[in-house]
Amino acid sequence: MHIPDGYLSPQTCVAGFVVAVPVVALAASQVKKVVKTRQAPTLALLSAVCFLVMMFNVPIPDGTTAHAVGGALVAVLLGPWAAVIAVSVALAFQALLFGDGGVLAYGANAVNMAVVLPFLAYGVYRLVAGRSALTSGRRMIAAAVAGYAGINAAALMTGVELGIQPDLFHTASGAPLYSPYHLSQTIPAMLLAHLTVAGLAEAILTGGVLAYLQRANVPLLRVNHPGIPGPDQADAATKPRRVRPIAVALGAVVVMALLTPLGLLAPGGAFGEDAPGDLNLADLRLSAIPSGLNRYHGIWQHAIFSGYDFTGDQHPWLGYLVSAVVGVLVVGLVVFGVAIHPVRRGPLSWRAHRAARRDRGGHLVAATAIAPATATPLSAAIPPSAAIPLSAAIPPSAASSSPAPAGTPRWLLRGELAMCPCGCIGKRTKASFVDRTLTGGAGLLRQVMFSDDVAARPGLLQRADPRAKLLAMLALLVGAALLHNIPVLLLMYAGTLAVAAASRVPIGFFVKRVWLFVPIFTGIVVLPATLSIVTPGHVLLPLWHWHGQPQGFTSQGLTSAGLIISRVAVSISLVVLVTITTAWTRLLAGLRVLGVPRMFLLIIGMSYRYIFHLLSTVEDMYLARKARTVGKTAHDATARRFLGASAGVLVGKSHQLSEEVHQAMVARGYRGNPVVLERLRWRVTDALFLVTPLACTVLAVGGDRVLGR
Amino acid sequence: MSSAVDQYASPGSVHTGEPGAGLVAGAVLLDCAGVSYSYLDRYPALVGVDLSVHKGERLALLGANGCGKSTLLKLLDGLVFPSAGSYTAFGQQITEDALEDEQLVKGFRSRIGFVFQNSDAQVFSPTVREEIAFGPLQLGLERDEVHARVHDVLAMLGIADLADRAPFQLSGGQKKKVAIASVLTMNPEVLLFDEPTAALDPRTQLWLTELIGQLAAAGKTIVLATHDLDALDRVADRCVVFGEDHRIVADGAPAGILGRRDLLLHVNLIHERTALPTSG
Repeated sequence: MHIPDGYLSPQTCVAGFVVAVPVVALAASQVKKVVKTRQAPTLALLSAVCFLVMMFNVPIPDGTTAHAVGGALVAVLLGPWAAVIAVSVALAFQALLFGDGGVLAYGANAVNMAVVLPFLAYGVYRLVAGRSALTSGRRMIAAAVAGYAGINAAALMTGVELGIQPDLFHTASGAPLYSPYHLSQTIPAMLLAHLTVAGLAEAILTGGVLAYLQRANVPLLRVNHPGIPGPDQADAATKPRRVRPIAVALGAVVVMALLTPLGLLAPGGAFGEDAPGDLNLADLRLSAIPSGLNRYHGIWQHAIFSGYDFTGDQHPWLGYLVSAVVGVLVVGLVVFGVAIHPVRRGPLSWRAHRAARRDRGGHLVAATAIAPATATPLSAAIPPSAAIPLSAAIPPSAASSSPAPAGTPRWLLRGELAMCPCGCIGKRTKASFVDRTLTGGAGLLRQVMFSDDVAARPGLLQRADPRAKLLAMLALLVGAALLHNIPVLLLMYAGTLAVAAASRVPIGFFVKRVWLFVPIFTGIVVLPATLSIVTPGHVLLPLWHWHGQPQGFTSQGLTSAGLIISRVAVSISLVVLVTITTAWTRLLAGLRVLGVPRMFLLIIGMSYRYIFHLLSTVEDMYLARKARTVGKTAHDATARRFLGASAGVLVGKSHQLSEEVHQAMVARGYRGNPVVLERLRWRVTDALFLVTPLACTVLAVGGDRVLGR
Repeated sequence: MSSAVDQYASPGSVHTGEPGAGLVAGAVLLDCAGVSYSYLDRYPALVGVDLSVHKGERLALLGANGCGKSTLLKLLDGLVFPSAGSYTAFGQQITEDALEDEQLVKGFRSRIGFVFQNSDAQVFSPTVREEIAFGPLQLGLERDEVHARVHDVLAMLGIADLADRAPFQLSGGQKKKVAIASVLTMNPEVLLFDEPTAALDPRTQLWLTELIGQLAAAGKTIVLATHDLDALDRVADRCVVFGEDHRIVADGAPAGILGRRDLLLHVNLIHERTALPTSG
């Protein structure tokens, strides 16, 4: 959902900042009031959790990835203002350190994920949860629904922001200057992924962690729920009838179903049926877009909707409704799965009996995979099914045998019969996405260390003051966004290469870093836009005919693609150049002087540390679980269950750590207002570092305007 | 409980010295009187603890896991507050309200330093240098003075080359050194260590043991929770033993405590086959 630089016009970016900056500033001051200083480490931690959650990209069928954000969780735990800070901090990391999401587009990204998402989610949560007790099942459902609604609202916003670009900003000949897709394409593309995969992930994350905290850490829940009766009072006063899972699931489905038409109300007539005026537009364009939809179209056409031409111009809204229905059903099922779980843990409930009986029968109970979420970290990965049958099978008298220490069960002393005697380890299976993400995590660490190395080299940019560098970067980014001519953009790119060489950045690395990103994301995204079905215009190379019209690459489409690719490349180069030549702490110091709120930076500084701690914790937990997993497992499914189950444990563990960190800060005299060591002083050379890029920007934009569009 | 306590039954009693202890009888710096504490008002961690820490002494807290040693250290550092009884430090009663007072909190925090068991909790700044400067900066020292202190402490602990590294890149032993350095820059009178040698390699363990001796020789008062019985007589000249009922059951010189095998067995600190160091 991260919009990179180059996809949005400078005007849209400015609009994004106009909304985001005051909200974040207000949030920084609100958080000080609402969240006590004691919660600062918790907030930093949740911010790191958001960062990690966004790292766990879930592959979706249309070739891209979707991810949860975690903003709804923070909103529920610490309030929407805290969520604004947590998510915007995580986004700042991604933009500055890892080039995920643009710097100029930061405002827009923040509006979507750090403002719209948490506030909407929090509203939904309050609405659904009502005055129910802190530990009630209804609250968990409310959290899940809130996460689902929040992330889809954010996705919708992203779709709208991208979709309005081609109509508003194009060259005289009609070639889009920025994102080439129209609302009719961007909105379904965003929503398809988020109504299903990412929405589910966010719902599971939010509901799952809340459910975990309801059992493990009610005091943490109290922070943002003053006056809500806790478990004790609930027993006395409002002890509700036990919520039946099926009722809960149905309720969730109803809520989703009611929310679904929101997508149909999307501005710009994404789905022509609701806005007849836009019908032509929608009909013309929808056929191209969701390539995943196209792929699915076969399935649906043959299996379910054989009567309808899904890709055709007749019923574009159908695709939306179908995906919505599928999404709603899946959510209902998952919520059902989550909901039966607390019941099963209840003492002597019939489900527990049934589960236990099944366990004794020796079957692996698939559903127990959810159970660890509620257990203590230690026992988290031990399926209850493993413990019961073994110990039950041993007669107590036989338990202590002679040489072993007293009390060692006999089964522990002999080899496991289930193991293959030949010692084979079975077929290698491909790594799950969790494996891959964790490997990516190690890469992240390597990357940070590499950046530190480069930042320590004696080069041109390393000498510059971080404030000068940041300001110059901003100016050049704006300049690049304003350019309309490919040659000028290429000239700028050559400039970044020269500066990189002067700063002793390995050129091979620099080029790879930028161009690996560009073809993978931008290239794939932009390619369809070169075709006449997306970008109408003068067809240069006809590929096929449609209703007698030649269809193929258009000159407008090719120009547009060239513009976007070169602009994205320049933007990423600029950001990489600045961040890789500046030590992280100096970057923070620079941001501080440039007026970023102290609270915000405190959280950034702390969550930077937590990210690596959390990453290694997740890795340990995953490896610990993997080490105990034998036999044939559906890899990705296991991994997904692991994520769902461990999110709660992770937050619980991390909360403990954050409490300790706070104590360690207080022990050294911290009273809510951090004092920092470094002070920056302007020097004459810094002025030079600032003036030169500014002059370049003016020159580039001026030259561009002389060349015309 | 007082029947079980060998000595120092009343808070503030004068130190009489023990054979082989080599104590300096100093004024009482920290004093707990009948202190109790429970987590979440449910799980007791300390029950009716009476304890005085004298100036210049090295006091070791012994006891099985979960007996309340860490909680006592947190209480001594004013991070948690007794649910019953009172805690007095440097002549001031320490309560949550008292620590709201700007003047008092500054004085208290600068005179007492705490090295956490979990270094990960303690090192939270982006770089080692900032981490070590955190304490003195919070307490309002001049930046130049802070820079000088950071420089000295880095040199003293031999970690000057780590100054600009990020703490998460460090090994366990290096992190511990940074955590200790971050407390030393505040130059506190009293140093609290929570299982300082746990999870360190033998070389670093010995280094730390010697550092503690060095600090004590410099006149610092030291309170540490430890399971390292072998090094006990090198790091402490007085031991307090906690029972699993979260009360103090014994108080005396290391040699005397280590000689009482039955007591250590009773509090579940040692196993039947644990070999205790022969007192020397």
